[in-house]
Amino acid sequence: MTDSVVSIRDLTKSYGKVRALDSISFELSPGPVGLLGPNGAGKTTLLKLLLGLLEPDSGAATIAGYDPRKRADRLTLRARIGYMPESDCLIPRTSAVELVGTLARLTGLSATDAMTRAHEVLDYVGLDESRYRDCDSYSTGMKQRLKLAQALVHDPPILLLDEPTNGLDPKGRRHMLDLVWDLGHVQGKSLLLCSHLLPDVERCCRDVIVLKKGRVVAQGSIEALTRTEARRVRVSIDGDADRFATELERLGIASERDANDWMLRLAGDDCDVVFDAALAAAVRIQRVEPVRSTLEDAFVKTLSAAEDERA
Amino acid sequence: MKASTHTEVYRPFRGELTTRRMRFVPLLSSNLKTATKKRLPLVLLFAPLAIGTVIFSFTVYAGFAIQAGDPPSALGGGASIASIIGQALVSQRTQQLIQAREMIVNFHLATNMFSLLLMAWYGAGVLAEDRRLGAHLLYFARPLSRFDYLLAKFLVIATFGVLGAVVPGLVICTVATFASPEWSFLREEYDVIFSTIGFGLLWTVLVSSIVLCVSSLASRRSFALVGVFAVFMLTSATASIMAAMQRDSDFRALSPMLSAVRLATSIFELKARHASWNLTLAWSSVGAYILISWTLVWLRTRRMDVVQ
Amino acid sequence: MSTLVEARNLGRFYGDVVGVSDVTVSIPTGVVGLLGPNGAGKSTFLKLLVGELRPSRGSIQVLGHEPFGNRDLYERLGFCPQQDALYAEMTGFEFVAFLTRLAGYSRSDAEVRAVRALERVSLSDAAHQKTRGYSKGMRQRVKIAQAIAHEPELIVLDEPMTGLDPIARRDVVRLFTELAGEGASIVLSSHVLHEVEALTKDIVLLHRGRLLAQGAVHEVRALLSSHPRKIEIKARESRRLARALLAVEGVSSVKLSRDGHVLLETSDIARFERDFAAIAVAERAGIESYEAIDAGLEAVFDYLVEASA
Repeated sequence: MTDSVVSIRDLTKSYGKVRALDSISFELSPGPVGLLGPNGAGKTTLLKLLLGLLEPDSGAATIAGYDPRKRADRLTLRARIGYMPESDCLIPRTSAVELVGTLARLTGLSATDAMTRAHEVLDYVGLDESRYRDCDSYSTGMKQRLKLAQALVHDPPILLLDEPTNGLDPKGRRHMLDLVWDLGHVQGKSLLLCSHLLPDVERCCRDVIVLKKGRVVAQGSIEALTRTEARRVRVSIDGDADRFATELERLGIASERDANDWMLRLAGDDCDVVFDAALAAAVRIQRVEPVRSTLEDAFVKTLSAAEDERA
Repeated sequence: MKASTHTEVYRPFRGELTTRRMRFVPLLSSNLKTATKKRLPLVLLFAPLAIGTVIFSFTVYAGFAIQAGDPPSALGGGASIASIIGQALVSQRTQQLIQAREMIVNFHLATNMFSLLLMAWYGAGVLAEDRRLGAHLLYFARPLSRFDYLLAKFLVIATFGVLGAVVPGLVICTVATFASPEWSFLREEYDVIFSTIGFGLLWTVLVSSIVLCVSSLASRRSFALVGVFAVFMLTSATASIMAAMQRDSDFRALSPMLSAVRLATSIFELKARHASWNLTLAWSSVGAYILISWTLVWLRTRRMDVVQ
Repeated sequence: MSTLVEARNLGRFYGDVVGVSDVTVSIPTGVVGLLGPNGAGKSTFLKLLVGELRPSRGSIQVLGHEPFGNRDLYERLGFCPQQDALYAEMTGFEFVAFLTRLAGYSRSDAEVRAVRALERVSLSDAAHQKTRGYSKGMRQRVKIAQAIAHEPELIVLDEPMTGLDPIARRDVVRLFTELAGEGASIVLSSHVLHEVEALTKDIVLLHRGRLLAQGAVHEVRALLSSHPRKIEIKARESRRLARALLAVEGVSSVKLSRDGHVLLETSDIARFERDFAAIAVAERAGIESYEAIDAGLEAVFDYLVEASA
């Protein structure tokens, strides 16, 4: 995989007797990847490792071309990674511009580059006039955007985003997810999105990695993990349900019913036949939706499968 | 002119990332800038020092001037006053130089508390506030080692220490140099200049280390501020009481402040006013306080976790 | 269906800052979602509900009584606040038992209830560890446990799912559905709209301290007549279908999305639904899915907030 920005192979890290990471392997290419797993699965340890804050016990890893087993590399690789922490973090009594600028200079940019770049990323995340104010007084939404800005200022190829939509209201969440989508799909960053909100992950990411108890229990595209079930559709109607049932029977369609919501099993390639039944029964179709398992279902299934494997 | 649009929202960074040698510098300058944002504390804390420096400088200058038979007009005109003051101040040249020296040392001892206040005020929040607000999460995700971080923070405190403990002394020395006849101060008492710098730095390093330590242990700035004063006052009180009770001056080593004062008398080669107690003990005490402070700071910073 | 909460011209100010401003709403028993952008007044409203704050003006009645300073009412309420305020030295079990005792139960009763509550939130294993060592998800579950342990008639929760992983979230949603089935009423405030949708159809939407909307989501949607209904149809031959749809009366716009799906707008949804079956049968365009894309909670929320902005 020539374009893998992060390459991890058989990596292990223990704290005393506890195996936080147990021989994990994966590759990260440009694009957004969701990092999922129950609490205590090892995500925190993995993030620390990717940030060069820990030395692995065994295994090989290449992060943006650096080797975290070497002490010098562990420090310098941080110039190629951007981290957006989950917890509240601010530098006391500084404005957004000063904060982002100082962090940029600490990463190695020259003073003028740092200032130019700080303003650019603050534009990108949408912090306008408020960037000159002390960030102690920022709202949650602004703080989240500031966290993203400081992670982007040195234009790292790898981004680690930890619960980026924490505390955001629906509009703020949408804005943040749009930015995440843009960074992953359009700007080509290798983005690792840690979130417990699976719909967010489904919206932004193509692939996921699922961790449990320090092991990778599932890895792959969301598409593959959530396949559409063979020709099952959910239908909602408004009208004479019994007549509709009769018409479905006449057309030979197997069905399960729950008030006005139906689960049908169809034979052909499309759902036109549902409208045949509707027309004949004079009912109004309100929804025809192919049944698709959600990422949440896949997540639960994978984790319990992993549980069974061990038992 | 060829038409073009530049509507891209995100621009990649095409500049260079350098690995600078002294990584802590941006942190140091940014912290100093933030610290001096508020003018009022700056004025209030430096004013006594500035005023003190001016008064002592003037006194030194006056001393030399009177001895030369040329009293400054600020002391009021008239030979009568001049002669009174002239008699009050011994008119022998050597003693005048010693007077200047003593004046500088007394100035140091008198302003110890002010420079301590300066360092405490600006240094108390240096680690405590960072940890409280989570700033370390941002710093350590950069190519900045914990040592760089601590060095920057230490230097923030030390900057104020130098401004409060070294610079005023040097100013008075400069005045003494120019006021003394034929640079006699510079020629014969030049070691005072070195002592001033030396003691100032020693005091700065001692207090900065303790302030840094307290800041790393406290959960917020106000607690750290109280803590610093508590440390100094309690140790001095304990040391004095023990020394009095046991009638053994060596107990003064318990207090960093008293140890420093003892070192001052040695560095400035003065005859001590109190019973001179064990010099080695004083040095050990100061050294121990610095060492313990840094050990505690290091242990505490290791626990500052970036990912939780 | 009795009234759970009755607010009349309810107002609460913090000096000049408005918390809640002139809200009149009648919330029935059942599960209700309290929504609104940040700063809308949700936390203030909840605090007024559980009696933590006294109204600046107007009145609020919960289960028929005024909640402020009403000890008897406190025993019938359970509150799970947003803030994290656990006693670090207590174990989870001790904490829940302690708070249950405050609700008026004897020591032994409280302990039994605490055990049961902790079991329901799947925290039985860690119940006897000190809360200082709890992860964020565990702390959240303890808070929920103390809110339900005394089997209150009304459970009020402010952002109850923060810090919970997807499995725990699912469990909590199931727990709330069970509790609702057992007769408890739930008022829950959350930003995560899809979770609110999973629990209930009834919402109360606040914005800038004022009541913006209340009721079942689809009914509220129907009231927003200024926004024509949007329908997305995925079909094999979408272009042909689109052409046919343009000829239909009542269809105000037909678009093809970037993915080639048909997006249409209609101001008379009932009539369109009546007419569409015939068109689908006539065109035989290979329809794969048919969905009203702006009838959900997120769309309703957006329309309302934007309208009053």
